[in-house]
Amino acid sequence: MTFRPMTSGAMTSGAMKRPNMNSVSRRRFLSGFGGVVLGLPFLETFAPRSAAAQEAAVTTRFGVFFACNGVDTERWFPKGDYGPLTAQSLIGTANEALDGVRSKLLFPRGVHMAPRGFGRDPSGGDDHGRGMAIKLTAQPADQTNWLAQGPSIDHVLAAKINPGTDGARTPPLNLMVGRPAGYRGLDFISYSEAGRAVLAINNPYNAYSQFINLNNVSTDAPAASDRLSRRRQSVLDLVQDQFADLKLQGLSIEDQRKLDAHFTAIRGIEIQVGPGGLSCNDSALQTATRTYQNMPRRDVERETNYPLIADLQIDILATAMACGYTRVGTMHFDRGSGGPTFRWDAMNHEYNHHKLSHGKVKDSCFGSSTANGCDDVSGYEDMLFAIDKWHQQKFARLLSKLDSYVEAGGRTVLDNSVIMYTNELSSGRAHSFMDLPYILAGSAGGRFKQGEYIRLGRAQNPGGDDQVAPHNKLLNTIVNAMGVQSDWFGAPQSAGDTLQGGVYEALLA
Amino acid sequence: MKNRNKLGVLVGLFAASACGAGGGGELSKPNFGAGAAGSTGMEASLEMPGDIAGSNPNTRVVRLSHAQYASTLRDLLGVAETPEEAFAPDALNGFNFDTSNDFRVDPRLGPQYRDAAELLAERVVSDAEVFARIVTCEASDAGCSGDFIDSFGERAFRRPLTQAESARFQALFSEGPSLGDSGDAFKDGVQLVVEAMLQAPQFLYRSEVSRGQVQDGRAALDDWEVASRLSYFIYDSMPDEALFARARQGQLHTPAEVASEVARMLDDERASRKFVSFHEQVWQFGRYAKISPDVQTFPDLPSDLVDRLRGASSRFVQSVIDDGGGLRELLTAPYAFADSGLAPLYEANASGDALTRIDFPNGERKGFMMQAGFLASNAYTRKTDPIHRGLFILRDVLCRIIPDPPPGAQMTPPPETDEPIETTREEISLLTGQLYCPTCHSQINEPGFAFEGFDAIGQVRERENGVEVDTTGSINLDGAKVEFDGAGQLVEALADSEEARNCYTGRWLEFVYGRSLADGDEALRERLASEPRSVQEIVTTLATSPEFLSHDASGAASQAGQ
Repeated sequence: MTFRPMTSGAMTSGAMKRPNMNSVSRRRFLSGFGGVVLGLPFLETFAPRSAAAQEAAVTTRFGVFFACNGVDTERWFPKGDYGPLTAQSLIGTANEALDGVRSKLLFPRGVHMAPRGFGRDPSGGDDHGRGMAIKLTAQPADQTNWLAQGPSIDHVLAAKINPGTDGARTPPLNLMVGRPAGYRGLDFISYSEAGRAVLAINNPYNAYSQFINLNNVSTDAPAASDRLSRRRQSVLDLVQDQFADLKLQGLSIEDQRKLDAHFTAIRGIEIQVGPGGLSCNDSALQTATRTYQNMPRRDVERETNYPLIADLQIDILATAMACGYTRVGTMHFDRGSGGPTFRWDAMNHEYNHHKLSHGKVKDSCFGSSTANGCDDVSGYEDMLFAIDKWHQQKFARLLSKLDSYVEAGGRTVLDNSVIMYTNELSSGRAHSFMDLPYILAGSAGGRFKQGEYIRLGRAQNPGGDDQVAPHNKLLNTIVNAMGVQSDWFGAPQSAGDTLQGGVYEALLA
Repeated sequence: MKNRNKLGVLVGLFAASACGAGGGGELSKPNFGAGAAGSTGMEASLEMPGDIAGSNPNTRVVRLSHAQYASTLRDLLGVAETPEEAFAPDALNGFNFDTSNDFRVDPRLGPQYRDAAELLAERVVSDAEVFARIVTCEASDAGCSGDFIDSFGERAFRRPLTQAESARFQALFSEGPSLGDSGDAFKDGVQLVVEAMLQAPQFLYRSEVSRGQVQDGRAALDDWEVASRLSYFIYDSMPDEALFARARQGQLHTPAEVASEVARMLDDERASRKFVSFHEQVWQFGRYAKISPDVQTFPDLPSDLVDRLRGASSRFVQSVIDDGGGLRELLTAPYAFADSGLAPLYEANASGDALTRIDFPNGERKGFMMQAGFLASNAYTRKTDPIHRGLFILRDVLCRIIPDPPPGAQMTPPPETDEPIETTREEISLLTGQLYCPTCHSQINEPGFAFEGFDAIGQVRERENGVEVDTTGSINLDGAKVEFDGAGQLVEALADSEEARNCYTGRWLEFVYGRSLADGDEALRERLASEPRSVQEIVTTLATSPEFLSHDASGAASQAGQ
């Protein structure tokens, strides 16, 4: 149903009434947290549309865990040969904390960004800016503002598979920890459309409020809940007339679209608040996030809060995905060319992540040259390794939490999801866009191989010869695994020689 | 792509093209320098349909920013607490100011508007003081519900309700008993009406939809729309009662009528706050957040240095504005503000946390760029950052288009030298003297070097590593080469230049209109920049201009009911 101008008489409330996916999914019952069983009335629309999916209807989810400033590539990837991950694969690497869920991990190796960095394909932005803009969009950034020229995978998928109806589905939950710099596109990984970035939420209270009714309406009494539903319907009917009035005032097409998008966003809200409507509620999160209620942005963004907020955001993301508020979510850690100074969890660094990523903290030392007294900081590799390990502990936290929810058939939410670890660079020191660190965790309901280390491309300097593994194809593989048929993801071929369509069959179970 | 078109416009407006401008023509132009956009073969692949970030010059419906939403609610309801802190944050998508005319209601924000409206409506009927403020008749009076709807509606929508609207809200009001739960039918009706009005687009957007008389392609705004334009421009909130009264009387459309209102409004402290906010944004005081001087090199700095520096910079701007100053004084006024934590940077004394004015009678420091905030925010942890100090002047004071460095530039090390490099100036000159770098850096570096008489936290220095600092250089202004020795001479030259004035007034128009400059803005911008003006004069001239009191009627599709 599209919103179009009508006379107010013709716009009846009856036109508004429709089955609401959100209300159904909210009725899913979480019997508590930590090893819970989700009561799942499987929904037809959630059934995989891909012919490849042999499974019964499974609610698949897609999550993004986005770290920045690259990694210590020497100690990040699994040890040993390609093939099944073994007890030795992760021990001693940055991914040691993931050993407990090793059997649910897939490491695709040799993937490079496409469009590429370093001026090989046209795109605005510095190396960090390109990494932020391109990684989830596979689109070049514009020259002026470094904004990606197409939507990101999380928004593409949410628009297809999230609760709601076409044109009015729940948006992905985009969360972050850290401080937006306000400098061009560096703060963003998600885009709802070309040039329209989505600033992720960095306040845990606000994040949690996204899917817990702010008003905390008591829905215990059926009569009260019924009255609330009718009340909201009456108000919405009137507001709809107000929208129609305004649209009749000779507005441009663009302004009418702006208003249409607004109305779509409010008519999509669950109108019925059924008993147990707070099923995404979690008392521990509610208590923990309250600290941040109305906290000024400047205070939220203080670095002392960073590790606490990181944990909370991860728990919120896991909860939102498990309880059915959204099937798509992202979490990113500050931004490229920034990052906190890690002074917690046994780290006590003097310099922020970006500086350390170059190994040089002396002012005005550039690149990796040691000329002119630009020596490396003693022990910087170990500091980076410690930061990488910290991020992977956070990734493990997200995965374990998702793995603690058991769904029908004995599968966990993690099993039914694919959670992608990605980073805007591989080696931060070299600003490399090649041989990127990727992990796919969870099989998306049996679609991805598990417990494997798989070589997709060659590690060095892709372009022009065999074994090119562009990341846009990895994104396309995920889109298809989520049940959305797609031949191509990202910018057209003309944006970069190495872009490819299709899927990585080698990753599929 | 819209932004690219805007760039083209800007290039035309300021007669500046990439790094070629002001360089006296001696510079060769490698292809990356031909413009911030478009020389990399991206035209074909990057042309995107639809609207890209930024702004729409012809928009008639502008969503309130979260700050405006909050201040409007405070004025409308008299409540102190507002729920916008929890709202989904807006991305500016490259626009310079929080006044963007391109904010949207996405699926994150839509439900939050509803939840906020419900909370506030509940508050209205449960707080006797708030209730009495918006309902001025007795519930038992005949016609009280209608009076309430019309009077509150006029303030909420910032114009009188239409008859259809009055009837619509009256019908909703009468549903109060069946949909409310207080047992007081009147209160339930009020609650419903408030809840609905706060979700209506007429409240959430500033809409300018009157069909005023068209002259020279521009349609006059009606008096209500003028009232809103003025109040959101100057107060960042809804019109006050005096403005509403003027609009009701139909006395708010001639320049003289508007001028007298503007004069009154400028005395309000919200005006001062709004205009300080303009400067905080145009000169990016937000970037102070990255100031982190090395503690060994600079011991004894206060731990909350960033907050103190921000406060001091804003206070300086406010002081200049209150004293009737403008761009010239912002660039050259020989004083600064400091508290006890900042005063040592100026070799001065101050006590406590209160900001004290510190004068520099010999012109040792002039204007905000010679104050600690600007200097420290354009510095590394130990060393100064002349490149970004110079870049700020070119991009942010002169609005020149300087492209980003080409890929890999930031990773290029300086050449190896036999002698150790002693000064930052020498190091930067070597580093940027390579390859294609001089194309732009021949313009950027020297204005930056002018500030080498100040260290990384803005303290005066005469030597760096024992070597006397060199603060000489030149810059092309208004088409002529200007030599300087030291930042004082540079900022004086900038203050005298037409280019800086053009830039500054162009930014004001962007701020006021919430969008990038368009062709139709040029005449007004030229008038504003024709002579040095105080901030108050700029605001008054702008607000009383025919352009401000009308909108462009040429471009927009005006067909009703598309």
